[in-house]
Amino acid sequence: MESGRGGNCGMTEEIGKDGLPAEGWRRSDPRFIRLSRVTAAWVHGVWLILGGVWLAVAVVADWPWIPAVIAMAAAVLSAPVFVVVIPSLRWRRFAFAVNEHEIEIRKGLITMQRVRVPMAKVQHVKMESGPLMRRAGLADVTVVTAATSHHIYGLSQELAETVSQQIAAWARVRDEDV
Amino acid sequence: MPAVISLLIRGVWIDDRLPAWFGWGFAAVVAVTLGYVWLSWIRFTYAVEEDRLVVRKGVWQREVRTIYRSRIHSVNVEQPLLQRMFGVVKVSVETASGGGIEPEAIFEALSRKEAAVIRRLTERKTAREAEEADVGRAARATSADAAAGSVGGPGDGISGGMADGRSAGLSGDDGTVAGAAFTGTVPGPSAAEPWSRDPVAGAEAGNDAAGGLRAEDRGQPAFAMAVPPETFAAAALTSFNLRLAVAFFAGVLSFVDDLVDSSFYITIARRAAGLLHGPSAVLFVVAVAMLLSWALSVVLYVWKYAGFRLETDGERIHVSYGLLSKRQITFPVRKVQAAILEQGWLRKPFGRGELRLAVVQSGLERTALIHPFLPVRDVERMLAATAPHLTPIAPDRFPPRRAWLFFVRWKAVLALALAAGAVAWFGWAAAWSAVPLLPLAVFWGHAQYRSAGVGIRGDHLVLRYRAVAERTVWLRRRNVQSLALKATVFQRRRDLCTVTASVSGGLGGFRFSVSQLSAEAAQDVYEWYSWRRVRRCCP
Repeated sequence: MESGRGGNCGMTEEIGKDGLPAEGWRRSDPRFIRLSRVTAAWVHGVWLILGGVWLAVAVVADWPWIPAVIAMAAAVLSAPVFVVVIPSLRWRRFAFAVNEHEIEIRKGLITMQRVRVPMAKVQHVKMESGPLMRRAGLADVTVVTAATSHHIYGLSQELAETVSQQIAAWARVRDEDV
Repeated sequence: MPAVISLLIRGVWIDDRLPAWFGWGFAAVVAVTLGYVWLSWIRFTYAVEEDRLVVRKGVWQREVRTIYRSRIHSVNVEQPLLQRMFGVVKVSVETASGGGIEPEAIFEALSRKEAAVIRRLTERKTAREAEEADVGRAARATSADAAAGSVGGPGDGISGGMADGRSAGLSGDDGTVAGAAFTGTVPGPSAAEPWSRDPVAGAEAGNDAAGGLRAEDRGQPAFAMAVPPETFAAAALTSFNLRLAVAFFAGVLSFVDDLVDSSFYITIARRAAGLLHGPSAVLFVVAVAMLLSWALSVVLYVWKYAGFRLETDGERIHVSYGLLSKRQITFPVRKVQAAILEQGWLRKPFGRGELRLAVVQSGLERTALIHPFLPVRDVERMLAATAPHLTPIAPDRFPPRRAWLFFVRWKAVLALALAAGAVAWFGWAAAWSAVPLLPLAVFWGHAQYRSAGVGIRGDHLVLRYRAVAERTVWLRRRNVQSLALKATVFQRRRDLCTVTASVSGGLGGFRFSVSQLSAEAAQDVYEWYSWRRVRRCCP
């Protein structure tokens, strides 16, 4: 977890062959990329269908059809970005490290971010998974302090369980210095 | 069942124009809702274990929440009308998250017996914790008392009296719970507290009130402070609160709008347009608006903070102010998370600012004012008297030269755009009005550049930054809940970085950010916050 003192606030250094920073760092489950793609594809699909319906109605009922076309064009343009580029990029940029003293998370697309949360500040840990996540066997872990909450996205359910149990156990033994 | 509901609906709505499917649709909605409510009830389970409370819930989004006993701040037991009708109670468990605004877990309906089991989670504590809880409870009860006295807020009263579930009203049998706690008045220990005197009596009694027995017993000097009228006047005159003024004007306008015919505006606009035209009119209007907002700020400031008075016995700080509606705030010193010196642009030239404390206390939305117009050189003395655990160290790491452009450039672009807009609107005659805009923007960015800085010394951290007013924030490592470094693509290219420290208190905590620090300075702070550093400095 030692951060190298390179440039970029230590945000891009130490990215080795596997793209991970130094030891102790972990990534989301690779299945999370696929899930993000599927989710984004669904959203764009619905968006396109709604646009199409609007267009059909517009043609039949003689409404202005330009907004529908613009909406559909926007969907077509944004789909590759959100379906192809962002999921894998986000996965590659996301990493977290947990030890008995602190949790560290790095993430970001345009703005890169590193956050450090001492175990002693952890109020509680949440494990959450929506219907799609459950089907994919994934879960998010959320760490909540007295002022902030931090998300660790897209872990396999077993790992999420382990991580949250471990954080809870480590956070508990430090009751005295809150 | 749906048929019955459908019939019922059609019976109630005699209107025959509604088609039959409407009734069926409505019935279906009701049925689904009932099903959902039933499911969420089935899925909501909890378990009280030796050292923790585990809550499971959720229909679509399932959630398991583990709350450790040691993290629980208070268990509040209430009985709103609906619950009273069914003879159950509503229990909310609060931890420190989010400044205690939204409880960590809410049990909408529990029997008293079950509520007592949860409440017991807070009872088995170490002696130290128990004592601390005591202090906290007394303080909260006192402030709740004040609230109940001036506003008659029953919500505050309840949460104050019920805090920790250990106050007089609650510790009795179930009968007392209903009797004492739900009438909206808080009985109990606050009456005996020196702090709970009303402000006027407190002020008259002077040091007696401030010192009380408590301070003398401990041999600690009591500290009491009122602001002299001339200082207060200066504070009011330099309190330019544009946001407040704008909000007030907007309120007045919408009120006037209801009363006055719109033709009135048109007449006024025509007259004004007859008198003034061109860019000078815009400047004139802006100037008048600024002057009015300033005058209004002064009035509102006096209204809010007149009669400012602070007392402390070294354990708790008691602040009261307000011209007509008196406000009293009491909080334990150990709940103070950070000190903030805010120097508005009218105050900075005088080397003065207002000193505030960020406190973890439910019901306290923002920071607590402890001095409205403090000379910067007196900050150390003031903090020593009120929150001695905070040391006002000076920043020693500043943004590098290359950061200057980052502070200035977007403002400059905006100024140029405004100027271009003015020219496009009024023609080239307006070009001169654009002249002051650019220097103003550059000056603003430059001021931000000059203000930004961080400093670390031992356990202490200082962050200084400026939006319009300059803020200097002092805090200790243990008050920082999490620390983040952020850098955009552009910042990364120039090796710059933004440091954000999150502190609990207020609504959802405070974030203090200093931007455009050199990556090196930012990482100094980031590593200062690491456990390695903790181990090194405090074995």
